[in-house]
Amino acid sequence: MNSNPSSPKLTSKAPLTAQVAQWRSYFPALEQKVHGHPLVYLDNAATSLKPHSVIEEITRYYSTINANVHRANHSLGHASTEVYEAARSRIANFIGAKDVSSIVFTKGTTDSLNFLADTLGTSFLKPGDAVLLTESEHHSNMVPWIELIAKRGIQLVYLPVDRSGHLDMEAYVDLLDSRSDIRLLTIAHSSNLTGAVHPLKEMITKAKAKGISVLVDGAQGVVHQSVNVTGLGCDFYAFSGHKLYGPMGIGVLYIHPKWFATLPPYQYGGGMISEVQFDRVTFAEEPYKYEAGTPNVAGAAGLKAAIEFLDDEIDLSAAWEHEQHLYKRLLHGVEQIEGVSVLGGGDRAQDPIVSFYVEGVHHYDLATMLDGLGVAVRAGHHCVQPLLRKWGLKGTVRASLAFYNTEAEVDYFLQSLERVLGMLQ
Amino acid sequence: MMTLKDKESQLIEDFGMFEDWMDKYGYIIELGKSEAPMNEEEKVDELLIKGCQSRVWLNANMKEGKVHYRADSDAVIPKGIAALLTSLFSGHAPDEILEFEPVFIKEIGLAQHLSPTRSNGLSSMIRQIKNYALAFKTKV
Repeated sequence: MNSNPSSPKLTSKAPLTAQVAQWRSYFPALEQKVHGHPLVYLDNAATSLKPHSVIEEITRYYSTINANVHRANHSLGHASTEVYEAARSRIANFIGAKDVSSIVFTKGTTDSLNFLADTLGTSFLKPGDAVLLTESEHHSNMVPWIELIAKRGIQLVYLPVDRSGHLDMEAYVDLLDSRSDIRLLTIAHSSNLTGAVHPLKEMITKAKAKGISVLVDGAQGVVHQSVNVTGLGCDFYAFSGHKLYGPMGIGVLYIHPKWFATLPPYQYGGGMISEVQFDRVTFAEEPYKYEAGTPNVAGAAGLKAAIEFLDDEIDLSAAWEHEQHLYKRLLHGVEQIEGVSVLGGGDRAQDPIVSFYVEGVHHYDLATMLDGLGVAVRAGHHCVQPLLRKWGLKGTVRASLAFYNTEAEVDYFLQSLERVLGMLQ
Repeated sequence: MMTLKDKESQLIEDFGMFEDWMDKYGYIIELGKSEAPMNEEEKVDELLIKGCQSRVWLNANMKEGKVHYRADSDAVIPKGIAALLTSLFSGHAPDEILEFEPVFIKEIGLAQHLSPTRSNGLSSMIRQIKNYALAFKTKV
């Protein structure tokens, strides 16, 4: 049996610009084949690939430093502390935080969000208080708050999301006007399902006018737009290293310093105390009181390397423009295919994510067969189950782009999708 | 009457004819189409295989000392894989099914080609096939 002669090939007429070729050369994972086909990695919203400099920095840290921070009175210990604190400063600068101590290292966005649900749940939210979130929040920014319903007697109020992925801003204003029990707004910077970027500045200003505190889940948002927490005026901002071309297992929680007095530690143990007696503890200062145990120093170093890579090697405005160009090509192409329905899209601010489904075709069949052609996409509920259920969907296929993707890859994906659909329908 | 081992060798040979994975998938899809769909009433949650990302139902009955399996799924590839398994294992005595250690999953590359979760689904299917055989054996 011969292969299908119309088998798609990675040979688009679209020129690969020198700049994109240069960007691609930084990412060793792009140089591999999957099932005999060049890898076309379109699962960037799940995790991005890592540049050489990040991989090398992690190796360098473990090869030459590898000592515990803060407490060691030896040279390697000092070097390790220096690396760790330099990463904190670099991150503060990257997200526009005025005070370096407002940067707390965590395991990732999920850890940051659990941290806040737990500590705000005991120190700030009282039984009967309402937390406002959107229907399109990732489970990470939903499940920890759902748990507080039973544990702390709080209520959850959901802001509706339409099929374009965007929020109903009139409903938002009405909610703020009609309810006086909302104490916290917790919202994604942008949706991991649809890519819709929420109008954060406007929303935060309105929330603040009502005395509502604001937490931003920046897992997706920090990757595709510049973030300035001071300008935004949010109380908290959470993100992960691994979506931002950095390592897995390191994340950030920005805490506005005005919360230091209110917010208790999340975990207890070494490194977060100033004095311990058998029955009483004085905690260390911020941020250390929020970082119990040996931290992920190599992860912090790797994240710093990722930020420096973006700063030094990548013209970010050109990179984001390229992503938007690819996004439009991808969206347009997918919309042209018969039977395909897209969630999101439209003219409003958008991360380069296209989420779609095909009536009568299971998303797992699509993703499994696309993998057979070397294309990595994600299929499933994308940790947004309640919203998909509301829309009557079991799941979607999501293709998400990064600046190292090319027009040829987008075209190859579209041809592969058509080929696979031809076999499945 | 072919033994399970013979049927498995035949299966491995069949898959060896395909040049690339798209052809293998095409074949798996065809296998799924050849399996008679279950009635909607039959697709009860008790028959669902755990560990699959799509829904796969597996049922079995015993006739003249041999087990006969039937399967369905809401996705096409799992249905084809289930059909491959039901045609392999159907028509054999519980003892033969219980003693049989399949190697074809590795041989035809199914394990490396299906996502870990889906692969778990595949092993769950085989475990459930053996569970039915054990239940029938105990009953006899």
